[in-house]
Amino acid sequence: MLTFRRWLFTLSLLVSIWIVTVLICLLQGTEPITLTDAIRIIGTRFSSGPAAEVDLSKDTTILLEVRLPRVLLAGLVGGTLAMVGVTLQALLRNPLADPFVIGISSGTALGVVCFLLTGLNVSFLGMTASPLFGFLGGLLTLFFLYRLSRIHGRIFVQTLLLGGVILNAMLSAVIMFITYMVDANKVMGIVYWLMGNLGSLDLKALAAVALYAAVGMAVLFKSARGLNLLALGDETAITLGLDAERTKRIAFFASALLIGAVVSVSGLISFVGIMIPHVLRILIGPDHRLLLPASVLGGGIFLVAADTIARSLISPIEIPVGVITALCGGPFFLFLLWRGRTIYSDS
Amino acid sequence: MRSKWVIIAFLFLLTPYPLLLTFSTVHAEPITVTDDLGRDVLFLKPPERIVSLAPALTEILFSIGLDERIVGVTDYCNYPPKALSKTRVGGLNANIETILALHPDLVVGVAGLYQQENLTRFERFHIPYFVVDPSSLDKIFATILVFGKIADVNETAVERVRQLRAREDRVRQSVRLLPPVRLLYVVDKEPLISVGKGSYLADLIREAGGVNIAAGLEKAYPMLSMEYVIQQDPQAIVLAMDADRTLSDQEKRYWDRWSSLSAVRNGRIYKVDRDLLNRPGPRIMDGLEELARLLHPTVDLQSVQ
Repeated sequence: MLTFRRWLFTLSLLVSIWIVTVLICLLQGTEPITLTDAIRIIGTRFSSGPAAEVDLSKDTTILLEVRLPRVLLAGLVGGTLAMVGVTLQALLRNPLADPFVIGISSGTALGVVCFLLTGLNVSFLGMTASPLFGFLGGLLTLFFLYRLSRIHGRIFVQTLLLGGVILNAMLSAVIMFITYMVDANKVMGIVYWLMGNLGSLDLKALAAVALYAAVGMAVLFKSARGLNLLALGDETAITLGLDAERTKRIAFFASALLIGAVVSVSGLISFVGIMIPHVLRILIGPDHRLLLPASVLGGGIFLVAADTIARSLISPIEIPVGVITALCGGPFFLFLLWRGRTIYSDS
Repeated sequence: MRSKWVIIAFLFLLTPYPLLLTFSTVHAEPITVTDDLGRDVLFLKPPERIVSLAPALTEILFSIGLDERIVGVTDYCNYPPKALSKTRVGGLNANIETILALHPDLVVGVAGLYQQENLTRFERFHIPYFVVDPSSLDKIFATILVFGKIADVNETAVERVRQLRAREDRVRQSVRLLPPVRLLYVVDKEPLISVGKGSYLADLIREAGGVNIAAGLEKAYPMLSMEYVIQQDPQAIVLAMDADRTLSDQEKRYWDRWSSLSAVRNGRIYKVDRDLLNRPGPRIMDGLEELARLLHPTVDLQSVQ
């Protein structure tokens, strides 16, 4: 039974862990920056005192312009992926669902790959237009999938799931084809990008993405109760007074729009969206009113940590973050599954 | 019964010999050349129909005067212009049917991508396949020489290498006394990919009077962390991503974000034609000279002889 006290306690705990993780990870990286340096840097930046000495200016750039946007983006992307994972697992009533299963991610990735391919020097709001292309690709896929699975005004989740899987496979094939055919000079960039990359946004662009994601997350959070009921099946949910179609539509659109945005700025980071929801279900139970906000925090914590490992393990060489999410997250997930197997066999 | 078959087998074995004899009187002697994978490849005569599976190798073959003997090139082979009129055999993974239809007596390729697949299939179709691995400047020169040997145009190849070596020496001499310039070499910018150990570009940057900030990294094309770049503070940034040399306004803005870098503050961001640098062929010396001029604008490459 979810009480307000437990809700508040769990979320406060997760918020604390989130903050601690972000702070610790800000101090990790190729360049050693100590806590005292970091405090001094932030102090200088936010007081109108004299400009920092020369030896600090490098560290200032590294801390505030390289690491901070990257760590925050990891938190945002991880949180979004996990939250959408939770939503889609409830919506599609399938524990294997993850943000990449409905094909939006591949559509987005295809958009970005097409952009990288043209080598166009188009800019958008002062940054590269590659996320914009990605987002358009995602939107097209979303529109197609929605038309496909809406029959007489109802969304059929089986059709949605299957259609998504097939679209995903088709779009991935197109990406593979392009990667295969493309000029040898561009292959590496595309392949590395597809493996997931959190390192290229500045704070302004990050703020724009964060604002957008916050709206999507709020919408999803509002349908938490609806998702609880949907988990019981459409008919039961309707009997209990839920406008099931509306809930499904909202959850689907919000998820898809969130995925489009996130993939367009970070590539395909696997595993967060399927693992974090299940881990949290084992730890804190299946109630979406708690599970949804908890997944935002949990996914964020996980991806911030994973990306820190990716950028500092063999630095200055970076490892694609998708490698770390799967290798570190997998064993932990299996461990929880093993410990909690009685819980899973009950349901 | 059995002895009859033995005799027939013997007769078959004997028949090719007169044929071989006539060949060896007309052409040069059969030679065995070891390729960069350590395989011995036998040439009964200099190849007449060559297929090249890499732009750099196409450029090498043309540069030693084998224009007429090249029958197939890849989709990427755009230099020299004459290469454009040759049959295209595909991109990274060449089309085996197109190649077979050309009846080549030699296919040359670089080590790495699709190497195993090519080995298997060319062996199956009995087409001599010669693999080179031009991963350093010396190995590029060695490749030119070995092609000269195989195609029996030794003098031309030796002369080509002599010219290239002379240009290399001239650059080396010119920049010898100048302070080396810390350099970030950009293969691709998002994500940031640079050049580490195990690429001929490492040699090239050093000889052009540059210090590659990623030189110590144990990966030929590493994804580099921006933190490291800022910490190393390159004095110049060389972008080898496109076929043109002009830096667009958008690219300028992109790098302006990293204004703490000396290279950005001093406007020392250069674009070079990637085909000159990213191809381990004879034009690499053009690339070397261009790089040296960019890193050391005061240097006069002509005055040093």
